[in-house]
Amino acid sequence: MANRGLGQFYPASSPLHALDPRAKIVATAVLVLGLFLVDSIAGFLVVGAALAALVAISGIPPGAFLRILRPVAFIVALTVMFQVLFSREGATLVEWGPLEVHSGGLRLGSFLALRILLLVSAAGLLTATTAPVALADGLEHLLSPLKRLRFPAHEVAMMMTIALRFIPTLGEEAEKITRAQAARGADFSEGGLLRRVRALIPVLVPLTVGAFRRADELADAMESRGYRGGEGRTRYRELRFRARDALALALTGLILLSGILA
Amino acid sequence: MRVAGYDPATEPYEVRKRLGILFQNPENGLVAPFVEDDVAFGLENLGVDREEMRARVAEAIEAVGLSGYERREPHTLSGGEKQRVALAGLLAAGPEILALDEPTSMLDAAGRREVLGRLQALRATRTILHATHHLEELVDADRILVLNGGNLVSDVTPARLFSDAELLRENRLVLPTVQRLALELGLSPAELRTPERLARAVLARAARGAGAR
Repeated sequence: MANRGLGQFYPASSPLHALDPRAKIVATAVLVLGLFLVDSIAGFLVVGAALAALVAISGIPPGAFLRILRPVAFIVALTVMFQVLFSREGATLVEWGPLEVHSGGLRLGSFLALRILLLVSAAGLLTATTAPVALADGLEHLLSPLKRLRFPAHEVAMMMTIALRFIPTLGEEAEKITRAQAARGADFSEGGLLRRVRALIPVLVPLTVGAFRRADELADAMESRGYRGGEGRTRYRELRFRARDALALALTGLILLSGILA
Repeated sequence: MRVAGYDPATEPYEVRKRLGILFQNPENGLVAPFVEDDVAFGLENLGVDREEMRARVAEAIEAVGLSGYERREPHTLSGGEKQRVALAGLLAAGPEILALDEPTSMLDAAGRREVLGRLQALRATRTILHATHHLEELVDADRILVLNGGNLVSDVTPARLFSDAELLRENRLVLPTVQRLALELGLSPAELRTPERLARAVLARAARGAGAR
């Protein structure tokens, strides 16, 4: 896949890639939640500078990382516009017919924009530096204490793994069906939105039917290979929480704290 | 019915430990996003510990000739390679019996050769039950069970089956090319399993003919 979007893994060998996925997931979660406590421009600058440094360390080219952020640019612009135009807090800065811009709105809008951008950057950095399989493994480990509350941690992780395994396969199948339908005269590129959506039905129906057939066969294969849920199962993949992972967590806490206090 | 002494209806897990099934379509039998993780899947289910798992996974991948493929993703593999990954997954778990459900029917010629070559090498190690429509895949079998319409029609050796024209005709079985050629040449189809042996037999006869003249 040529276009890398949000949530795409970017393979490289960097200190960030080498961290335990659990450490990265926890650090990201803490950072994302903590961002709601940051309440000053200086604070956002501190967190932003730290994230920029992390991107530099991660070995992801800055251009590629900015592309990760592109899909959210529209949402950010929209929220800022609403905040700026409809908030009536603080001194009036500009008055133009029915439109008024207040200082409070400007402040809230820019804070919101920064918060969303930093939040997405943190999440993007996590998925860009962590292989999807490692992410699934990390989540299973982190969620496993919830098993006592009957949360199906193993099943969720297994679902993620299977989804990761079959996304490319189903993608190829969708392409094949699209070509087969095009060969029968289906047209996917013309007409209005409704017609184009309708043209997708002959692709989606066989794709769905095929996915169910696959699921059936996969279930048979899994059972015949002795799968019986997470109970008594060992793991091939090993996660090791090392000193550097603890260091990374401590560092994240420090960055967040200075951001909140700044 | 019992499999390796266990009833599949009441003790399915005991049966699954001892019986490995290779399915027709390898595409839908692979579970994990990477080859080595998939090969390890059966071992994880058995609760084998990590050190032993590593060794057995490496050994199984080697046995199907896929060393170097450990980190490949299944969708980047050819049909024959996928089927060999599935086979490695079974071998790693070490079943007593391998059941093959037309394992080559969805593969191209090259893929078939790869898979059959690997299966050939496994024959001495355990019981292999191979369901197929292609008689040439069975020339080296110890026993052939002919099924027709869900009934067991006959239980013979390949040699017997290949020389029994009536049995073949009744069950609409086609002799493999080599055996058919041997038959047409008036040679014994049962003994000439490979093209090389047939060629040698033909040469020997030609030499005899030349000597007699």
